[in-house]
Amino acid sequence: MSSYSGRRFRNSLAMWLAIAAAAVGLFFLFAILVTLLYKGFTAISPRMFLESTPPPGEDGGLLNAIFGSVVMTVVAVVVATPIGILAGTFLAESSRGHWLGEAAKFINDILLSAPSIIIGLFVYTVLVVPVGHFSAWAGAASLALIALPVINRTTQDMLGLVPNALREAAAALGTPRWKTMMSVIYRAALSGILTGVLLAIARVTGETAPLLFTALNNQFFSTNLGAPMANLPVVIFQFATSPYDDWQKLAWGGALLITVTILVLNIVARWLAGAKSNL
Amino acid sequence: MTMDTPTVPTHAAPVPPTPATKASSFALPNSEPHPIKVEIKDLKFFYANGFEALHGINLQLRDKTVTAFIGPSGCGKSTLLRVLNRIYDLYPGQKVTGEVLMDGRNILNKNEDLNLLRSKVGMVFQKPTPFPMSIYDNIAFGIRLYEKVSKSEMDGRVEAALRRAALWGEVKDKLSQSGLGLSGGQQQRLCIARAVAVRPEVLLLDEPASALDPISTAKIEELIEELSAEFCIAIVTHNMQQAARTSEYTAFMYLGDLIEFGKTDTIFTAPTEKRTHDYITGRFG
Repeated sequence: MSSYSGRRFRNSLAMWLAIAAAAVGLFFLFAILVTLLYKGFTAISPRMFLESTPPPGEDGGLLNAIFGSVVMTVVAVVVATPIGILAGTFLAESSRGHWLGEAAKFINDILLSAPSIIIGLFVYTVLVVPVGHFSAWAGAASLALIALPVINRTTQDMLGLVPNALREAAAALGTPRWKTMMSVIYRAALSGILTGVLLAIARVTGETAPLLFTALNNQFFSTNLGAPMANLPVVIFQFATSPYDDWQKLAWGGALLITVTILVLNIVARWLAGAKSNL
Repeated sequence: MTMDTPTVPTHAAPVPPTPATKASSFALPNSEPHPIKVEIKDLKFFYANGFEALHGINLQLRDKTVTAFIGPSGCGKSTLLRVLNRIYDLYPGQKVTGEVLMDGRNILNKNEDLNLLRSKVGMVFQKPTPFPMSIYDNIAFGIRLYEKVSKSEMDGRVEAALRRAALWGEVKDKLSQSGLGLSGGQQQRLCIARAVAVRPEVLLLDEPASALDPISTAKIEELIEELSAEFCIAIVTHNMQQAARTSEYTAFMYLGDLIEFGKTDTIFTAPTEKRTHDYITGRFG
């Protein structure tokens, strides 16, 4: 047995190492946030939301990119949410123990951590090459493919947290299974499932790689989903790597905008998850 | 709440089984017992892994009567209860053989309409299970499953159910609040009210008071006594005093067998089986 002071020493050593590790992580996080705020804040102006991306040397904003990002994200989430919730429901409620369900869960988890560039390439081969040109539909499809496993998995997890006693209690009243699901189980898991959807939106908002292969970019404001469409991540990529000062400034502004959006989504998601699902 | 029963002692203090007072609270010595509501014949139960949890149970539950099931953990008393509303059907692989006749009809029949059966056989679980909705909707939920009633009639039904469960006074001003906000004892009475609201014929109580404090337990026991005037009640309990206080008949089970079944007074004062005697005197279990 080691002495008490020896154990105390090892305890405080481990504690300080843990604190140091946390400090390193937090330092870089704050360094990024402060740089972003400092450089991005000066770029943010009403013009950023009112005008489209300019040619080099001229004034402009990010309207077309913001619009494109919102449109593709909305389409992706509208498609992925019902599919993800239904699939998650099946995997959590109906396929317990069945090999097909277990395999699907496993594959979904792989998809969850698949590099997004691979999803971009996949959609490129399936939706871009046969059509012959990039399009916002393809961009939305690749974002949907990224959001889908996130929503699926959170739905599974949240339904798994609903106590079995509640299912039994509903069944014991003679409630049909679909009614139990709709009126009791979903209600109990609602805030968790919504959290999953919000996290999926946050995840999708910052994706660049899949959009490079699918929606590409558009210098002009476009509402045509069948054509290439501007979006924040790709515009940031293009402008930040350009040699023009005003383009770089706009890229900072766009980066700040995305970061704040993701931050807000995460905070709302945390708040939703923490709030007891009263009603 | 029913405070007009001065003969009931304070339940907060541990009350030893007192057959003398108990006997006076129900049937007269020579009165006919109530007719048989549920008849269990040679019932065997198998879990999905093949484990036989019940080895051929034969037993009758009488209408408007409380039957208590006692026995050490794992003896199969909850399993038996879960056969009576076929809630075990939720778990594929669990099987039964034998017969359970309810008013003469075998409910283990493959073609039995389970939702209809469960509307006649209500169940209350060990842990309170309020639905994540308002107190009002918790009660209305079950009623809406079977009946289309007007708003005013629904209000009446909800109030009646909550009064029956001795909860009305405590919740009448907050019916629209979540059922999850109630205390454990209140939640359990809400669950009883919910079960009673659909007007079942049989009420299964699976250790309904084991998660509750003594005062809530006393309220639940009072409630059981009142409800026994209308329903055939089966209660599983680990609390011997509770069995003695609330039931007219008692079944002692051990390792999947029904060891002894009879009048509660007899079981607790003069059991014929040594194992029953040992269990109720606390020598094992």
